[in-house]
Amino acid sequence: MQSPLSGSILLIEDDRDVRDSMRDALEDEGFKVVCASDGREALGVLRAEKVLPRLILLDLMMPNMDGFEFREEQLRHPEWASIPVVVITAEGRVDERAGSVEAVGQIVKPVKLERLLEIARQFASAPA
Amino acid sequence: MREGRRGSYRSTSVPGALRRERIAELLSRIRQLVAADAALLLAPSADGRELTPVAASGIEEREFASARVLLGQGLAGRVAAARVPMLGNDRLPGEPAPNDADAAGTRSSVAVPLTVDERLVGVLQLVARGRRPFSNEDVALVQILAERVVAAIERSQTVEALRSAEERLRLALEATELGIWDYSPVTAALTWDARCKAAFGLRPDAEVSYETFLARVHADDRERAHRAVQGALDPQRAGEYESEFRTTAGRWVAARGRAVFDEQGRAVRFIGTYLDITDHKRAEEERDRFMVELQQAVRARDEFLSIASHELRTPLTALDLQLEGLERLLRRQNGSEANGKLVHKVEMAIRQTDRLTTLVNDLLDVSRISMGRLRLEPEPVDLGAVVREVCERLSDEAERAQCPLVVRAPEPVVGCWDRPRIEQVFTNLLTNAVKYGPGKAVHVEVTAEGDRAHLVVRDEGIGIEQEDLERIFGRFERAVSSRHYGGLGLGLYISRQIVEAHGGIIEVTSRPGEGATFSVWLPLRLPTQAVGAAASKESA
Repeated sequence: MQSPLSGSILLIEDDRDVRDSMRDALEDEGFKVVCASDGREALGVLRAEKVLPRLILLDLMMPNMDGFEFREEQLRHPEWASIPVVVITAEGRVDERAGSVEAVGQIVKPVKLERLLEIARQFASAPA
Repeated sequence: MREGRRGSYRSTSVPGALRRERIAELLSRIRQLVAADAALLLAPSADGRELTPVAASGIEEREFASARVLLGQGLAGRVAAARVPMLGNDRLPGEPAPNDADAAGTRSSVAVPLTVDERLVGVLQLVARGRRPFSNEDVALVQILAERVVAAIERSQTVEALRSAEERLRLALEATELGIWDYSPVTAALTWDARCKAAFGLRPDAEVSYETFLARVHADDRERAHRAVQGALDPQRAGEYESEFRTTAGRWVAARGRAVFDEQGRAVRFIGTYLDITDHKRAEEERDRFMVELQQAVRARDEFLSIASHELRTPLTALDLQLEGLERLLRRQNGSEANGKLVHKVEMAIRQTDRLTTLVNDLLDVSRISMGRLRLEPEPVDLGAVVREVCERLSDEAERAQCPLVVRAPEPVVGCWDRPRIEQVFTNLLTNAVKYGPGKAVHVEVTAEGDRAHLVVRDEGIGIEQEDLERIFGRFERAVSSRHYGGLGLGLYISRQIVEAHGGIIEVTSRPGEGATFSVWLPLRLPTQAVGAAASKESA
């Protein structure tokens, strides 16, 4: 039996419209997407699953548990620590905060579809 | 114009700036202080060859009005020529010869020059009859008072730059509002005139002592005011006294004065003036409060811009992704006519979200620049390639405006710049050229000039009025009305900030109706401090 997280992308974003739009765009291209609306929910998703996502798309500014706190928790967990994180930022191109959470990349809002797919192709498994 | 006004003001002799009767009153107070019978203030004539009377105290106007003193003649004339105080037994100019021979024998006279920047502006002469002759100490006192008067007048002249004639007149009048005080450190006797007493909330007939003074200085300023006096009476120092404090009557007072020492170095007299500067201080406080409020308002605006542009990005993201997804789905279906129309409409919608994105980005850039957070990420960039790419990207827009793009970039011009930022500058210039010169060619040229790259964008559009040429690089500025040409008026402001952050220069030459030429010079290597550092003039 295959876990829903196999070869998938974990999308952590608090704004529902943005989250749904990104999920739609990725699913239209054949990616599997699991969503969480904040860091705490995302930790719950990771704990519940045995097979881990290939990529985490992480919004930094979120209620309850923000992206920074989530990243700390993630890095503390030996199995989760190696999952690459790409930060979603509204700060513009040069956001030093992306560096502070040791992200492998960043997507700037407003997100262009091509950029989103490029990141997904680079880090998540190629869609079937 | 400005020079002319200054000139005419300068030619006015000191007393010309003051009202005659107020000067007379001032003279009367100085006269009482040194127990003189008469005082006369003279001013040099326009040609500087003689002195003419301006105001007097203790002598009838008809006696002195027509008097003329040639430079070098008489006590006042000699003082005017030598510019040093002198003692003598001369009569005042115009003063009738005394009938009483005894009085003539005991007449004593003192004259001091009044100078501003080594320019003679007047001579003050005092006469005493039937008393001991003026002493050197009296000369010192008269001189101190004269200096204070001149200093006040001088202040009124140096603040000429302080614009209004009204302001200058106000400051000139301050000279006559000086309260005069006189303190004897030996006997501890203190004399205040009515103006001094008023500043301290005392009636004209009130008795005063040094203790009165201290008790009537505001508690918070008392210690400081006392130390200032002690300092002035210290023979080790020059004896100069300058102090500002509040009184318990709620007034602000500026005190100036000087101590006079005897041969043994003892302070024998301490004399000076008080000036009520309450209005001035209140205006200052008002201005400070206004400045703080202004800064808060600017900060609030920048924070608002930042938050607004962040918040706008979220729905823009959802909108743009949905539209792009829709376009993709439509293109995958087979191209019926209806489908083609839909694709066209979606493309149009996407172009509008791109425009919205640009506007939102501009707002964020402005808040970044004013908060000093414009950062550069330099990398090797071929400016020619950037220009060709941007021209390609904007070719549809140029075509719609019927602007042929004529690009001349014969060879690679590679420098170390922040590529997206340089793209932004050129995009701005090219968009403007198309916007303001529809139907005309736009010429773009990229060349290397020594260690600089030179980018020229020339249009044949409506051009720019002379007085707008510098203004257009300012924030929210535009040379034309926003009714006819859209946009926030931020493009050139941001472009200039980016170019200057790279250590470069942006310039424009234009004439109305003859198009505009924008030139950008960029050093091939970034100045080191610009890299990754806040690059903003406004943060200073």
